[in-house]
Amino acid sequence: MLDFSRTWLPYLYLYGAGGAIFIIGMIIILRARSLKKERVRHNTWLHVLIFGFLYYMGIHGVFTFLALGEFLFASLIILIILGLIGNLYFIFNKNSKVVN
Amino acid sequence: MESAIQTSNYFWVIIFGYFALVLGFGSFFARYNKTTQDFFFSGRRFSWWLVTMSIVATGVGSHSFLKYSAKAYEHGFSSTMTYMNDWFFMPLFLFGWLPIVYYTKIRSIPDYFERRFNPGVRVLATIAILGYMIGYIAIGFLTMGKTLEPLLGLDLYTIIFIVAIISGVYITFGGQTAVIFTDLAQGFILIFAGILVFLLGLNYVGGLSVFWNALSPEFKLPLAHFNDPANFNFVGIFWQDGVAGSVGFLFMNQGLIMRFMACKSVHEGRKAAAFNVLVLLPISTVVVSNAGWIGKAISIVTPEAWNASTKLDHVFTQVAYLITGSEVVFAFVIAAVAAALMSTVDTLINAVAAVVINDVYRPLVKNKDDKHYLKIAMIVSAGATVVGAVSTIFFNNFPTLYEAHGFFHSTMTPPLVVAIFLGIFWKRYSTPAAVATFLGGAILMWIGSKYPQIFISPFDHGIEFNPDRPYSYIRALYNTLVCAGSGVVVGLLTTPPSEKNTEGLTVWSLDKAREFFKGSAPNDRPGKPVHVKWVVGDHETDEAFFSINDMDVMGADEGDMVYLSDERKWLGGLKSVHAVYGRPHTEDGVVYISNTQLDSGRFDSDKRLSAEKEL
Repeated sequence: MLDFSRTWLPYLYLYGAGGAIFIIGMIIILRARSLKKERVRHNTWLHVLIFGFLYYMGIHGVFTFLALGEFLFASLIILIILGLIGNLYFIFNKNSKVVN
Repeated sequence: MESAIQTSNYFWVIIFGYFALVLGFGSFFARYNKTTQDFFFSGRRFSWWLVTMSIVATGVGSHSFLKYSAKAYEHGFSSTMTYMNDWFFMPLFLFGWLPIVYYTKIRSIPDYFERRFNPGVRVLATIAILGYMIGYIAIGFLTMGKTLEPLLGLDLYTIIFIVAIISGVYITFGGQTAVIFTDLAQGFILIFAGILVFLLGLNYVGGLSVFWNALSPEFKLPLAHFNDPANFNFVGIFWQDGVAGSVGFLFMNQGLIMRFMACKSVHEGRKAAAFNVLVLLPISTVVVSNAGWIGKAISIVTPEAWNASTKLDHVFTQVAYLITGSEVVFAFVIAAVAAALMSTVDTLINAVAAVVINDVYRPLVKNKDDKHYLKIAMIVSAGATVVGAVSTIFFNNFPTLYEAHGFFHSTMTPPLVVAIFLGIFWKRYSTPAAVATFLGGAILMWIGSKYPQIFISPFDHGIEFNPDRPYSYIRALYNTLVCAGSGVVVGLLTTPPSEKNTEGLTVWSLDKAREFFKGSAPNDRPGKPVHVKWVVGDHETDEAFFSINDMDVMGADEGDMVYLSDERKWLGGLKSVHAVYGRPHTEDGVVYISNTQLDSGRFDSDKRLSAEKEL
């Protein structure tokens, strides 16, 4: 039975509760200055961390839409993920040679 | 006992050939162990890609193939949940725990507890972590025995005995370097074998579209039903695995921590962890689950080929046997499962040795030379193998492997995980608070398990109460909360530790940890790696001497730390050494190193070195 508890409630709970843990973690490392945005490598890591969250959100979204037969929405999310990967690749290329 | 699946000599040649290869690997890399630092941490020299592949082999245990194939057959794509919920804690791991363990040079997780609190808390942590790891080793051996029992027709304990001897030999003599390189090979074998099963399975059922269309929409959803059934629901698994399990694996798995400490730098450790979670975990989840999906598709598309009475724990073996169509390929797949066991168990055995030597033996037997501790480490590795194998007798009493595994996650993980977490991120967290987390938490967990309908039901999220196995997953939420609650209440009521006592040991003072690691203020000036020719100088210090211009390119000053490695990147840092920048000279493209550094780095005379500033 594909009711809300079977389809989107787990997704919302995962990225609601998990998202809260993630955001608290980001706030702590930024406030503690464990991650320093002004350092080139750290700046890359900031992008990687945010990318990772959106990437998993996207993967779970894609497979939920595919299971439900919503191929258009699944394709759109795949395009967004590819765009994010491209952006990350660009940032990596720019910063990869610097040791800091 | 009669063998359920008939095998010929080819099968045994491949299986024994595989084990011989593993033993050869361990023996070959044993020559890199000169000190306990090498034995446990491989001299902190490896590149991220080498470490991340070896982490795959550690994370994917043999129980993974059986457990997840069974769940995948029963519940579909939601069997992937446990591998796909680890990112939430990555900020805290990459920029909290990882740099702390690396820069403070702790030898073990209990060592952190002594530095952060006192020796008493270290003892509590040692007991908790040893119990956890020995139990895991036992479950690993037991799984292997149960997997091979119907296949080999041998007695369960005979199989365990044989596997334990093979595992014990190469870990005892090989140490962490052997573990990393063996796991690197096994990581590739695991992934290849899992994907091979998937591709052969798709071919067997008639292609991807037949496979996809045969499965129901409900089966294909990536997350389980929110709170039903009691033995497999989203919210319970989120708290048990996504929170307690993920934090446990990332933060308190001594074996994994040692892997990251074997990286050449914190930055490489971060890369290894991020690549593992972003790329290898999604692949791994398909690797361990797909036999269940294929099995379900076979049971729908060609029901006559599927044995309807197949036990859930035998789904993987049944599917592998059906789809491979060749004894050679089948033997390879079984060897991959053996790889999964070996690579999980070897890491844990090495980790147990690290904890016993550093947290029990060294404090009792002081002032011995390093060779003595190395010899004891090898004896402890052998002993841990024996204890793990013997402990299988206890764990064989659990109805299923899944329950034995669940017992560990729900009881051993929360106190240690909460203590690590609060210790790293909460400056106020004091020694009495840590003791309260372990002891108060344990008492409240025990009360919860005795009266689940009173204490755990307020957190059940609507999950049905099963009197036989009450709240098997969601109890992790209760256990985590009572451990955290005990620690927070006592922390608020007691005097906070002084800033000086926690310097470098919390995320709030990481710069101090870096300073401690280097011995002076870190140099964060941007720079680039350089390639240089090496020459042996007449000095015997830990310095390496570069030209003024090369140091300028690297953004380095005299006294900074430098990492020198063979310029062939595919070696992954096997030939490398850490040094300190000495007084610069004027010969560009040349570095002067000492004989000791040459011996440790095992550099080839015709190969240049890559050098980059560390700190």
